[in-house]
Amino acid sequence: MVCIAAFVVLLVLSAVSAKYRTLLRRAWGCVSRKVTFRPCDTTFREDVTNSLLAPLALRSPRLVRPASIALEATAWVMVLSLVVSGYIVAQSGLNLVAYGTCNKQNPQACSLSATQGCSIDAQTPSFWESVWRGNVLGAFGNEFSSLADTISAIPGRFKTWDAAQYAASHASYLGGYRDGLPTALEVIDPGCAFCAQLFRNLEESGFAEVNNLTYIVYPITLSFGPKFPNSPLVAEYLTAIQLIESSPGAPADDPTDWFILKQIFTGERDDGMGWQVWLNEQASADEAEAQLRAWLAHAGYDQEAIAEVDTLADSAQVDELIAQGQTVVEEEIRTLTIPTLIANGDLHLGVVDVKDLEDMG
Amino acid sequence: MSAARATVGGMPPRRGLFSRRPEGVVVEAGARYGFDYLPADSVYLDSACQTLRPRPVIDALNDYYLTYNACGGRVKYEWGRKVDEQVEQTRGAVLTALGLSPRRYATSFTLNTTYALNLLLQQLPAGRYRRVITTHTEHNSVFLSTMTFARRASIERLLLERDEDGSLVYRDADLADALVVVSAMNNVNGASPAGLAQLIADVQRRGGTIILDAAQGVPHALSTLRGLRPDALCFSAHKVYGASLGVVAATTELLESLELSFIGGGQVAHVTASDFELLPEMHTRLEAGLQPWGEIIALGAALQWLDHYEKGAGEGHEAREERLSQALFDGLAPLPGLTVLSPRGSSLVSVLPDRVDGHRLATFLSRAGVMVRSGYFCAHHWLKELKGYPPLVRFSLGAHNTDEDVERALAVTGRLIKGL
Repeated sequence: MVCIAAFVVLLVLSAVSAKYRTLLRRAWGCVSRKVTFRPCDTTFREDVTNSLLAPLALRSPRLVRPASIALEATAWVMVLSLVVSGYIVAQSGLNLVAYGTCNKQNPQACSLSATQGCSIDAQTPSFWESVWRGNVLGAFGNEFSSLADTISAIPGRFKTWDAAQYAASHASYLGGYRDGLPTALEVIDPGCAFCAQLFRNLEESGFAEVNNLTYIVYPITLSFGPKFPNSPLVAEYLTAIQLIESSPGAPADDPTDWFILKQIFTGERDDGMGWQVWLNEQASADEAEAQLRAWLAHAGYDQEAIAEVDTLADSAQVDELIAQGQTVVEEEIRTLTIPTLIANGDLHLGVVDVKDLEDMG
Repeated sequence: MSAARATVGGMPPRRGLFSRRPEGVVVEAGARYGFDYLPADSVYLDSACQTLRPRPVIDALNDYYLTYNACGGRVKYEWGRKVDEQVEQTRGAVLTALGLSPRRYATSFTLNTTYALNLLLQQLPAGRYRRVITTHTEHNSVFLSTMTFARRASIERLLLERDEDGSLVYRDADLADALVVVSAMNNVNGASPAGLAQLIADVQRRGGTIILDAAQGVPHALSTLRGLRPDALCFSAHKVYGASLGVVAATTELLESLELSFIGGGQVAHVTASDFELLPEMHTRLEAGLQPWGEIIALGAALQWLDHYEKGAGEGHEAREERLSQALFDGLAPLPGLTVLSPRGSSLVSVLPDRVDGHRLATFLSRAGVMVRSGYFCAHHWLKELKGYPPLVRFSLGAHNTDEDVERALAVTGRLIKGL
């Protein structure tokens, strides 16, 4: 291990001074044999160790043996930390390529990513959480499984995306479906502020006028419950409305779910508070449900129709459709960022600014 | 000239853990005859690898480069003539030092002993020998060159054992038409094979050829070589206080018998489209191309310096080495965890450290300014394969060493060995 540790140190030193490069070549010779499990020429390792111990040997020969052990242990720690660091860097790089964030467990914690979005935090415990709980095998299993997922997701970042492929049969389109326009699809959580920002950008850019824009509703769920408390309820109502207003092969012309989304993303209460903020921070489930009914009424739904929506929203069918949407997001689109927009053949993570949306149009 | 640095119990003055060594302090001139430039705190004990060069040798080399730096053997101007004169003097001095007749022997120069042995063995006539004989304890220069010779000539290679008094054990019949290559002094323990003169006589009587590796013999036991009449004897000038150079003293018959395959300028008198005529001087057989004239001249100065050593140092060179080596042996032998492999009085004192790696011990000694060799000293077959030893440490003395050097080496080694 000493030669590997020395190689790393010399690698850094050689970057700033040529005088270390001869030693670096010797160190590499030692390292290359070590990592290929060939009998190691230990001369270099001995030279390094002995040179480090020589000053001590002349002063206190008896301390050489424990110092030698400490040196070897230090080298092990250095090499192990190097390996772990290298793994983390590589893993982060892969995550950045595959998901637009270097930290899959907590996407918003990645300072390398400029993506503005709400993260779909991983549900599996982190490596060290598993180790802390005594599940060492599980920790490694989860780690490698996660790595495999990441690697398998990478090709998807370079493919040509077709939004229509992911649109549900009951999907609704902003402004109604118009033949001949390309399909665009966003993954949203009604409680996510970045989805509201994207919605405003979409409106400002006129994106929906030149695209058939639909969405998959994905209420982000954490280990302790929904990330935004009323998002699952809103998702149920949006899905129920889609089911009621659409018929097979014939999406609604003026879908009410988009009207409700517009209220949530852009509307304000009388006291100036945005509806999304209110839903996230103040509204109880009953109050949120009442507001949804109010918006339905405002959209022209009578009491009977509203009751039908209530019933459908509470049904297993809607739950199943929402679950199907989540499966599409997690297993096919494989994004960790809300919102995600599929448009113009590409996958766009997080908020897309107005100019880019205009260019896509 | 400043006085020698004060020491306590042979140990160097204490320094900070990572402080640099102090600037060199030069000992009194009389203490190191010819080595007045040498710092007192540098204890060089690796003369078996390469001796230090005394001032006259350095001066001779400088003088050549600064005042008559010309080719030898082919020019008519003054500088070149002076080179020729000096080189011829050196050839003669080599034979004189070895007690060999210039009528029967010639002196050739090469790169080093290994190169000299290979030049000879690779050009000895194919089919001339029935077998090649050497020993298990040889330096790689002999051990490997005999191996390749046997392969090239498709003959057997016989490795001899030694009996209790160090004599080589051989059957007289094995010597018939044999090529025998052995060392005149072992480079690990400094032992000289007993019965070398008898072996030479036996080989030559049975029609064989004997070549001596005298790389250690010439610097440390020249007196025992005088009077021997091998077919060839090879040594290195850089182990005899000269500059880097190999030397071959060979019989003219042997040189004449060589089937030259390594040939060029400096060796031929006449060249036609498809043939050439060799120069009549036999030493040219091994000297293809331009030679290291300065180094050859420096060897002459080294041999001259050695001749004057007893007068200058007040003590004969070999006697001094023997006295110092006995002191070294007496100091090392009682140390715990250290096995001395050399006989008492040998200039080459190899030790087997039990509790510390040989390379590590050598590195630690180096930190204290004591320079020794560690490893297998190019005798891997004997030490590693046959004996299974870990790396050894070798203290080898030279003409520059003093009693203080030995005391200091012993003090540092003792402290390390007891503490490690």
